[in-house]
Amino acid sequence: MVDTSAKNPLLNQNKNFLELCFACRIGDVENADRLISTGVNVNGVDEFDNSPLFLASLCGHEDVVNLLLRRGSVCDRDRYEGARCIYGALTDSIRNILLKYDISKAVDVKQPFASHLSSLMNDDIVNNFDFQFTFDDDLQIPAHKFILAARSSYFRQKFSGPWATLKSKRMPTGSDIEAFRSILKFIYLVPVLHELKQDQLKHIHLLSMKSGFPDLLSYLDKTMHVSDPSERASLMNEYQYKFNTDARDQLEAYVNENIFNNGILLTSGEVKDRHLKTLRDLPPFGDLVLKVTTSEGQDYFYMCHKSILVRSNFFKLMFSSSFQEATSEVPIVSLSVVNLSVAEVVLSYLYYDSTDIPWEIAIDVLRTSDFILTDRLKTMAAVTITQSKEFLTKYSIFDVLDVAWSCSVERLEHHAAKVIAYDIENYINDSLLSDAIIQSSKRIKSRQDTDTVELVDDIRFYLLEKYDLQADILELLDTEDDIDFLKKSGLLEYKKDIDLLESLLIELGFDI
Amino acid sequence: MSHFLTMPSVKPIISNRRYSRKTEGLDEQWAILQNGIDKIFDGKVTELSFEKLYTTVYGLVLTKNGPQLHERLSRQLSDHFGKVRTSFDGITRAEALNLLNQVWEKQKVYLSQISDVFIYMDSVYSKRENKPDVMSLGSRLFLKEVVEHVSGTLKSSLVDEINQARESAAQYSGFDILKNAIAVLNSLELKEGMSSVFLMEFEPFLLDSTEAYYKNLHSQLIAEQDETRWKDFNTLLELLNTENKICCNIFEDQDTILKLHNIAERVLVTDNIQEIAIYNVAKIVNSDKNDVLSRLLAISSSQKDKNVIFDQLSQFIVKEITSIEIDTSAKKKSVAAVAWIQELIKLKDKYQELGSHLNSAQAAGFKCINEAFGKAFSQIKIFPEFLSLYFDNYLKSEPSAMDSNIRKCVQFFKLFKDKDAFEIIYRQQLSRRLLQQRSNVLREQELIFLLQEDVGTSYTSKLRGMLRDLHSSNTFMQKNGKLSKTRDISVNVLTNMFWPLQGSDMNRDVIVPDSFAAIRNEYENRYAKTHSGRLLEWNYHLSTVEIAYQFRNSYHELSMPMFSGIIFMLFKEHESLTFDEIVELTNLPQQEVRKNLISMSVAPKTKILQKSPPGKSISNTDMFSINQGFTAPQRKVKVLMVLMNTRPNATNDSTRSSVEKKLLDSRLSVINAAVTRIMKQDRKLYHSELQDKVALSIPLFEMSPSLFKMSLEYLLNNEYIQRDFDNTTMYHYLP
Repeated sequence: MVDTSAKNPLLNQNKNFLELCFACRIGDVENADRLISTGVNVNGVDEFDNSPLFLASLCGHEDVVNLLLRRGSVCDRDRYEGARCIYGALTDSIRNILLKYDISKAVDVKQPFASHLSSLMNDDIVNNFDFQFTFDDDLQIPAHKFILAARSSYFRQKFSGPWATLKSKRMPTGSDIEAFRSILKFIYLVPVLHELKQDQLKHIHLLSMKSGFPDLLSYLDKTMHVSDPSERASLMNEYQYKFNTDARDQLEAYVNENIFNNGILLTSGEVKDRHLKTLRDLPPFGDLVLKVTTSEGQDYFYMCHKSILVRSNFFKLMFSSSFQEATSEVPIVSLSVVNLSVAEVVLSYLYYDSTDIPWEIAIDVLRTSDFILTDRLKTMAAVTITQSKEFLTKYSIFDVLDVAWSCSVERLEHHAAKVIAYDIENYINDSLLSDAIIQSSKRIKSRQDTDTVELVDDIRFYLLEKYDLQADILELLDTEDDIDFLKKSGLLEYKKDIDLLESLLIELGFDI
Repeated sequence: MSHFLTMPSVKPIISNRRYSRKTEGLDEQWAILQNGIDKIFDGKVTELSFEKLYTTVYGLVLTKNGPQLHERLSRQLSDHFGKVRTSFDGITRAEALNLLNQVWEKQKVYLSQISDVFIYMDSVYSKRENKPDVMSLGSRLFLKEVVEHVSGTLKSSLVDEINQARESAAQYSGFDILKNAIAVLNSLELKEGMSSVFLMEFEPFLLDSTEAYYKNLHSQLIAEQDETRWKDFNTLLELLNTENKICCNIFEDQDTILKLHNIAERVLVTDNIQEIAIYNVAKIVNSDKNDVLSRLLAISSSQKDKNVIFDQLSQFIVKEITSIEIDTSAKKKSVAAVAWIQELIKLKDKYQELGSHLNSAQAAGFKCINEAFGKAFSQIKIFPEFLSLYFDNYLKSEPSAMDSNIRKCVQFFKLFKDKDAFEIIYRQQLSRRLLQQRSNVLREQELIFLLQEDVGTSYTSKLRGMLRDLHSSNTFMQKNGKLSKTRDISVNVLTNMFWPLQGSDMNRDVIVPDSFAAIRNEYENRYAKTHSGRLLEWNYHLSTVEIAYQFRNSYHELSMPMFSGIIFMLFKEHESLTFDEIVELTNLPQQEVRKNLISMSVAPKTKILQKSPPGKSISNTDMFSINQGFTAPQRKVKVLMVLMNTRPNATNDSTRSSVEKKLLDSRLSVINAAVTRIMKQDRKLYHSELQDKVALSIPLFEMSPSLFKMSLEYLLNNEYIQRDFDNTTMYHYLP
């Protein structure tokens, strides 16, 4: 084998990236979303120089194409890679989406956590700024201490040291408020590069030196020598992407160090309000106590941030309403989980889009995200369950079915049906299958002319898939008597499986 | 085959219900929620823990208690709204409407808080089971428990307030209350996908009450002292505008506004449109304000109503035109014609002004005015003659440029339907003008050009042919040089089919002087050389001669009709002649000789012949000789043909009837041609279809049904077409 990595710097043979390529081929938009959130580079290429966008475009998966573009895939038709995506597009509608994509306008494509962070600049949900920078004429710019601390070691030191007791910092007279605002936008991951003004550059340069943003500095240096608009746009894109990746790492580090490590374990008794007040001004500068109760009955207390937790609908409703929690300054909110790692997965997701869910706790993560009304995490957990090869070593497929039904996750229902279908000989004697079929029959929403049991229908569907058969070939079963043909085509085996299923149904008292 | 690891030995952990640790029953759980809901309704939401309530709902839904939860919530809300209802007791009018809005605004906030708590039920249970979510459940129960119970009060309050607004118009101050109340009613619906309660219940009621209101208003107006106010369009416009303004202030929905407006319009305008049209049309035509027609048309949005107004206007115009007086006392017809046409122009100007302020949507008004003129013209028999006479008068006056009145008259011509009748008269007058050289050829051409703008060149082909004849005759004369050394001769060759000539025997029988005969033969020879195969026929009765004669006291150049000239020339060889002798020598009919002799011997200004015995009438034995003593102030003397006063009307009538006969014949042949052409194309047609198609294809006159029937009879008899055997109203083309 030739070492291709020398040829193409974008070549990526990371396992997650290759899985992403596969998801793009088969159009599994949810898995693609999960994989992108693990931090793979969406603009990488595989050993055949295929980018995920090209694969999705070629295979005609419009929703994956849209997802990739939203997450920062570049389609520059002036370059070989971009043109290839457009010419390779399977459908006109995909081609039009790609043609409409304009690299210079695509600066705000990014990960959900970054979008959320940006939206906090004008935090209108909980409005929980805890620091202010005051400029000349008493102009003020509000900010979140924890975001500044997470993104910049400079601010981290200041908040722990000289500014520890300050609520507001007066900036030196003559400071350029606009330049400062640009820096703040950079910190909050608002795409700012394209709106930097020439006359601010000096101030921004200075401020980024001070606050310690080497990437911003390197961008400023590079962009000075680029005049071609398309190249410039590429550069911006590349850097904005890098900023987001860095921010994710910084948040991850911050959450680990300050939230998880500072969690307080109390096996009994209540937290004293006084105790919490002191926590308020220490890193992580939280404004909310998350009381995590494990199934072992232990309570852990984490200082968290309302501004971040509102990414979950549960917290959003809680803090935007007029209930007690919204009116108290540092509310204590409980979350019941199986063990601490579930809570950590949920928080990691909320803070920096981590979708790295260990399969062992995937079901618990799914239930918890259902409770806090966070659909995307729920989907991610479901994808983890379906992708994991070890999952069934610890859990029964009927656990999956149970959680699928109680939390309405269609993907898992199908997955369960598929697993059962592919191994029907084993499952058919399991009394749990009978229970599941009876339960499924009770879930019929509204009576129709011919009621069907969804689970049975799904199993039938996957039995066809199992033997690579089409529905219309089944009539051959009645007419064809060439045994060899039936054997070869898999029809015979299919018939065997179906007979198993049907005899079970008859046993259960269903009409077929 | 399967790539899944199969581990059916793993025991499921479903039974381990970690999320429903609370083992209390439904009732205890519900008690928590009930208490929460009560507190929310008490406005004490800040005392409640969202987490606790949410977790309770979550637990209940997860343990499949969704139906009971939904049920109990629904009952709880019903109970609450039942209490809310009591706040409406004894409250009416604006207060009730205001209260509705206030109460609902408050309940909406409560409902939204409850909805937050029940979000897990909404998004999991209600969605799956197709149940209403908390917000819509709440608004439905509010509708059922509050609004429906007080809807009587609300309806009557609404109507009372709106009626008060109608009466006090600008002074009314409660618009916001009404608007808000309507908005509340519009936001409530009984079932998903159903129309709002406002549309279902309140709007029909409002429509009825509006109709009653305007009916009442209408009868009040009629009972007023000023008998005309109820039908005056200014009053009506004002009322309708007020209604519109009020509606726009109250309702958001354009549909409702339109419905209410239409009711007002129907009661006030449409139901009485006939009388309103009669009254107002008479009023506006003489108004000095110029937007009156536009305003009158604005009182109704229905085309039917507008058509009634147009109809009235049209009738009025026709009446005005037909009542323009014709001056029968004028000596000359042309004077009467000019006076009449000038009146007509004034009338047209007036209506032009009236129509000029219509907006683009009312353009039909303009068309109506024009059509009314056309209709009136068709009713006035003398119109084509008068119009033609007006043109005649204008051209004879040798104008230097086209004046605006002529352009207006051309407009009249365009509006006039029976264009072929006009053409016949115009052609006669044109031929007279041309032969007598009474007009400027350029102006003639100009006018003909204007006339053909609308009807096309074929219509004026004969007129243009006449002008062309004169032109080519002139050119021929110039090319061939003089016919005689001593005499000036000018000959016009007139193509028979262009000119309205009636050949006469006298032209063939008359004995012309030899000197003239020679010239005539010379011309005929020359003409035959260049135009072979043409037959020239001399129309002496259209010709004039000029004879120079030395009277005793003065020398004169006498210009006279050809026949007079022939008679005068007789005296070159005879001293005196009797009437009979003249008849014999000229071979002219007695009538013609007498006509000429009267103008030469009786007319006072041109008495170039002496008659004995003198007298006004001429008998067969009278003697004539040259009046040597004749003298006149100018050297040039024109002997005019004296019109015989005997039976002048009779001749007029006979010419007119002959014109009409001719017209009828030509129309018949035009219709015949049209019918044949259309039948040939379509093969078979019903009577009415055929009639419509034929009428459309004839631009020059309006086809009367009788004429059409005549044409069909002719064509049936001559087997151009055939009636269908089964269906008598259908015709077939016979090839």
